[in-house]
Amino acid sequence: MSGSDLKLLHPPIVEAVFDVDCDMPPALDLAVLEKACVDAFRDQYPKSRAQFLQEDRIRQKVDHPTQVFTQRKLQAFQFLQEDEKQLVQIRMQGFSFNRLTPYTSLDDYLLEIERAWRLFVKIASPVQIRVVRLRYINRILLPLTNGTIDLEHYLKVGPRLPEEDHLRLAGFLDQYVAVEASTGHQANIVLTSQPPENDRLPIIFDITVMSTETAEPENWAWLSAKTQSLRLLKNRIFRKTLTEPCLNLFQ
Amino acid sequence: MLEPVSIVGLSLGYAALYPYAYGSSAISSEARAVREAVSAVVESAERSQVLFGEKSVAISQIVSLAKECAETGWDGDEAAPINQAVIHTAVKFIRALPNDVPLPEFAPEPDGSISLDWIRSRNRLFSLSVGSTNRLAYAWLDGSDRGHGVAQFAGERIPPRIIEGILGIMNHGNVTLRS
Amino acid sequence: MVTLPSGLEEIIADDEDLARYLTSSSQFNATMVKPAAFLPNPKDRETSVFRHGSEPRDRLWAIGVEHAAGGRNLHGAAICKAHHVREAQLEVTADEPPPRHAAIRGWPFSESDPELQKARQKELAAVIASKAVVVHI
Repeated sequence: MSGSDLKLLHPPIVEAVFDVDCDMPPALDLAVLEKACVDAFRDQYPKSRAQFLQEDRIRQKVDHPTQVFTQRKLQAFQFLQEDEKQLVQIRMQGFSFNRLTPYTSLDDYLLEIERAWRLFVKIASPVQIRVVRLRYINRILLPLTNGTIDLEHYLKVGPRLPEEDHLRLAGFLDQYVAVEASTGHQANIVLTSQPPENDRLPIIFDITVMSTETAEPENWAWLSAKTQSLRLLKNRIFRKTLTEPCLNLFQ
Repeated sequence: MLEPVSIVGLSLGYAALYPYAYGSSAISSEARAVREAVSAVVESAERSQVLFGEKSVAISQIVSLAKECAETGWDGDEAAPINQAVIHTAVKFIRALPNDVPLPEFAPEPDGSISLDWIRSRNRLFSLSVGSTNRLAYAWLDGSDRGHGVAQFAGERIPPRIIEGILGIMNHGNVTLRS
Repeated sequence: MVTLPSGLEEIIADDEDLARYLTSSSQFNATMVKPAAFLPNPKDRETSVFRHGSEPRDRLWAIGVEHAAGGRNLHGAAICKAHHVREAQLEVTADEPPPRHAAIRGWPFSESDPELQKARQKELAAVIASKAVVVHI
């Protein structure tokens, strides 16, 4: 199985995110776009939410009532399918498409991503694409034997203890950043454990790959090709981080 | 294998964790789990004097400045107050600043923005405004050369041209300044 | 030649001193006054200055306390020449009352791109700041 044609019967993906960060028009007021966005996405995404950044300031003076000052700044509109497993986000910084489990293949979502992207370009008039990003969050349930596990059996890259005999691994968070020399694409990988569930140890394997090349927002052919290139990198990282026994868990 | 790569524009070290710790476009509970795990690491790093001491001082200066300029007319002439969104963006900028870039001085601006200034001499300086949008206005003097520009900052990566501008003025390496 | 109520001539000569009062210690450092100190007020699009040099010092502070500080503490004043402002392609014109008050005008403004507007203003403010001298209170 090569990294470029990765086919898994039960992929461990819990969320896939396609992000495009853009230069947006100067003086953009996201609130003004709300009606146009709702109208454009309503048929496929009947639910909508606004996302705010909220700052709460608490002022407490002696012998005075507590005062709370709240400031809210609109960050994004989210448009969700009825089951909330798929959503489109129109953000202050650009566009996102999220697919939660069950996830099949990027090929199954590309048409819809293109449709939603073109609607975003028409409504928000982004000036330039700055960053294209794919983020795949995987949740892998590794089998425990008598409450223990040999991580090296499942992970080619992972935590190691300085003293295997006297130290027991209780949890970990591994993170690294890498650059693909041939393309300049960047990868940011996080591998972390969650508390055991029955006989399983959940591992979150979070892969973000991104390109910082700039492009015209109307150029879907470029964006599609870039997405495929990032996908190949992501698949190679996925394939080469996990051992065959681990990959067999998803078949 | 660690190989030399161009790192201008890359978020490295603890800065690479900030996109996870301070919010992203992912919404799953697993994304939240990653955020919580990473946030714990980031908070621990930011309690370290060695790892974060100077930035911690800089962030305190931002907060003090904002407190000093919290009311309209702080300049005696109807200047706008510095609000929480501006503080938030300025702090994110400082967090995202690579460790090999000197920290700036801060000054209030009449429209409620915060000016971040790297001053080498009265004729060599780089000045950048943090306001309430994610577009940063900047200007520079370099002897008789001068210029200005605008760059995006979404809260994670500082644009390479900003880093190059700062380093070019502060004389860290041979960097060509361009507007 | 028109004379203003302050006794000064209406036209500001190139070599006249202009004082920009500083109400925050963050507006200057040991090297210079920072560019932000000269940026215009976004409401009236002007920078308020007074036609006074570093001396006599007690009158400099008296003007600042009475007309510029607005009840805030004064930390100092940045003194530049009118020709420094004009060399930055800006205008400085008398604007009384109050006595000795003048305004730096002609700042670039752009409703369609506020950040680009700010960037242009910062460049010009930096040029003026590079020529100004800080007088400490």
